Amino acid sequence: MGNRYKTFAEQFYLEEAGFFQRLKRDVRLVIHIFITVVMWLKAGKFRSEFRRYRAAGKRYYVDKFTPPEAGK
Amino acid sequence: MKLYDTPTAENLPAYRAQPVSGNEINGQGIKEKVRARRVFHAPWNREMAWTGMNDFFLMNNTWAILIQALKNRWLMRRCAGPVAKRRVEAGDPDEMARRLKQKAKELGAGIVGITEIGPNDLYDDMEQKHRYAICIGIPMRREEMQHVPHERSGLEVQRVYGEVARVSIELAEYIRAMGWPAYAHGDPRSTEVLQIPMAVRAGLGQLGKHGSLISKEYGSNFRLSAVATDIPLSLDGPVDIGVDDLCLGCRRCTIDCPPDAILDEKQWVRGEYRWYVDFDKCVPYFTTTFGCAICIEVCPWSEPGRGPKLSQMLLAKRSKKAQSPGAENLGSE
Repeated sequence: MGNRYKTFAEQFYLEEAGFFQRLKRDVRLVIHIFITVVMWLKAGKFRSEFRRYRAAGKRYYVDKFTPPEAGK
Repeated sequence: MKLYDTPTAENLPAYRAQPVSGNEINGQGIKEKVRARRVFHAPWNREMAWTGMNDFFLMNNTWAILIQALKNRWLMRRCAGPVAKRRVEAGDPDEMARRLKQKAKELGAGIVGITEIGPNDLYDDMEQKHRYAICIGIPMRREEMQHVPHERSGLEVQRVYGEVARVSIELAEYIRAMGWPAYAHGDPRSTEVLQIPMAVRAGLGQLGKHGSLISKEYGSNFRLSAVATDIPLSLDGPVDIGVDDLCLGCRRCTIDCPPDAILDEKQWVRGEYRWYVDFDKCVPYFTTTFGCAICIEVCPWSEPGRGPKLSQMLLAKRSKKAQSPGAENLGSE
């Protein structure tokens, strides 16, 4: 939250890159993918919580992921 | 088309502190031409009001869908690359357009069209770098999409996003090898352009009531990507296949949309009077149903092989109506 906005292009697109620049970019992307996988695994508790809420007919709130104030 | 155990729109995920409406961000009701703002899909943007819903969508998808989405993201690192130092003369723009369309089809594209990129085709935080867009569409497998909303259809959507990204990447590499800059816009989470308005102008199809593109070949059962380039190309124009003639009277998608998000009337959206889907109603349902897609699958145009005949029939009826004295002009707004 609060990070400067960066597009995929800004982070990972390289126009005229040498071997080591491409390698560095690939390593950063692998790290990003790894973090996403870890986030998804950790979100198992949210998924089961959501299923539980839904089965109980209760509303599930998503503010915990990124609160809407972040966009103001 | 059969819907299987469609989840209801009861108790959908929501915000405790309601963010600014996605419809407001999208420019609903605005009659002036303004550039689009990001609202939902955008990676690493922690500053959007609806990012929480986007994160929930990512986290709520299954492992198989996540892996396919991450494969697509890995593929997208090849969107840009070095341009060959020796430039091949572009020659006749008609001939070059034909050559690149042929190449795109060899690579696996289903439909291809070319248009010029305008400033309103990019999100408001992006700069225009290229002049032309080669718009590409690839159909999804109907046997998978018939299960909407289901993990199977969600996975098929991601698979086709990967395919259409691969075609645009390889076409961009082909153009760069000729010494011209080219940049592939594929995966929706990494894209910077508005694919649908460009594809409409490139003649791939028309906007439908459900807010998706409708082509004669595949109905709405396809996904888009684009290659932005500067190589001189002749342009295609928009097509009229009779989409409005049907959408104005048809309520198939509005009836089948569980959260009732599809509007029966056209709206002003960023200076254009067009079909629009209520973002605030659509997205919470979308996030809990693997990307939903009910509207595009129930659309009569999406029935395989139906598009060409449907278009022919609608256009013939319109022309007949126009010729009969005192009759309403069906297709006009």
